[in-house]
Amino acid sequence: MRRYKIAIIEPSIIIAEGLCKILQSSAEADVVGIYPTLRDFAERRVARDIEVVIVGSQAVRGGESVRGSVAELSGVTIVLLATTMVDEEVLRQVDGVINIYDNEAAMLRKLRAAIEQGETNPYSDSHDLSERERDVLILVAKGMANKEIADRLNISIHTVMSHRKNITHKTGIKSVAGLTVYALLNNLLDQNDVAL
Amino acid sequence: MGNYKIDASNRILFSKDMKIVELLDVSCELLSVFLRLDMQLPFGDLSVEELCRRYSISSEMFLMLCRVYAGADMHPAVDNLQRDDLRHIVGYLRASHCYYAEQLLPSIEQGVERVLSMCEKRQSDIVRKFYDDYADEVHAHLQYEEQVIFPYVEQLLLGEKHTEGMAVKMSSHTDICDKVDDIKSIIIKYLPESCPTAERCGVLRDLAHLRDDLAKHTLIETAVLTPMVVALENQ
Repeated sequence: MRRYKIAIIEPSIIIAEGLCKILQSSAEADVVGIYPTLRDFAERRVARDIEVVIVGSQAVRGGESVRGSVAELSGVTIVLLATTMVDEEVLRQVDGVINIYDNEAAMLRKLRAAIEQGETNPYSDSHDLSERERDVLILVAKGMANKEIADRLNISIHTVMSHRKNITHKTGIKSVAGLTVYALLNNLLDQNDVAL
Repeated sequence: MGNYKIDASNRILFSKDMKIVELLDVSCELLSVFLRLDMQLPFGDLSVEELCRRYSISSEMFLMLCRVYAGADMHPAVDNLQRDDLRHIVGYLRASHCYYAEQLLPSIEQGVERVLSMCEKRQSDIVRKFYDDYADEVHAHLQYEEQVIFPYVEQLLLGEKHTEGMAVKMSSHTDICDKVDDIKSIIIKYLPESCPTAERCGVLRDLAHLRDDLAKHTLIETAVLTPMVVALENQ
């Protein structure tokens, strides 16, 4: 059986280590890193091939954009670990939710379901863009030039330009400022990420 | 109504024999041409030629503006225009600026505010900032023309010679049409359901009008004003 590379972002070490232990004991998961905050994850992350990010609701309490923080990981599945009350806006950004009171089987079942339908996020308002287009959009909105985006996502400038053309075609928005509004309204990134 | 001459592709030919009422019958968009040339109602049964003579404006130039504003000519020719027409074209462009700055933009701003009053603060802040930045851009654009381009043309008309030509000045001329489309898309597609439809439609009508008017305005600047001024520089 295939083992998914998973990162855990959770400020409580008790919860994070507990989750890690449960996941490692299953044949499907391989936990490659534990980080207390989204910022920590963005700065210290080493593995580039992370497929699933499990983020605790305490880690997004400040209204940070989960999608924005993991934008450089293409096709990543985001699963929320609900340890507290969860804001609806956070729900819109994730592919699945597991609850802290779920038993082992329920947790793995939800994880699998989230990975399977990661492509079609039921909460997302921005499904008119493909996953890759969303990644490009987020970096455009962060103020990066095509060359930087190409380097960051490991694709050619030509591909970046073709994604940008599709984004504009689908959204009806041409300017960087307009695309930033789109990304913010759809919770693809948060205000602090935007270079203005 | 309608003794119009029609061309091979069934488009109405604007001619100087046409009555003003017939002209307005073709498109009421043309009302703005009268307003911006400061032509006062009533027009009675005057023909285009008669009205133009009354205001000492060439009917060739007047008809060119009408064709552009009725959407009947995307490639206006300058061959029939004279040096004296330039002064009126500048006056016309100035009057358009007044209309944008004093009527249309304030109306759009109020409309945007009404739409945004019904959504969450986080969302309204994002969209309001985008609109405000755009409005600043438009004002800066208009100001550049008022302070740099129009005075330059007027000095040339007075016979002054200049080193920096029109082509250089026009290269700092920015595009202000694209973002209107962006705002339109955001209002149609991406504002939350809580923003009332009737208010949205009101702003969208204003935005469509701004977009159309700006496009024609820009066409007159680039396809009429610029080549005429360049010709004048080379004399």
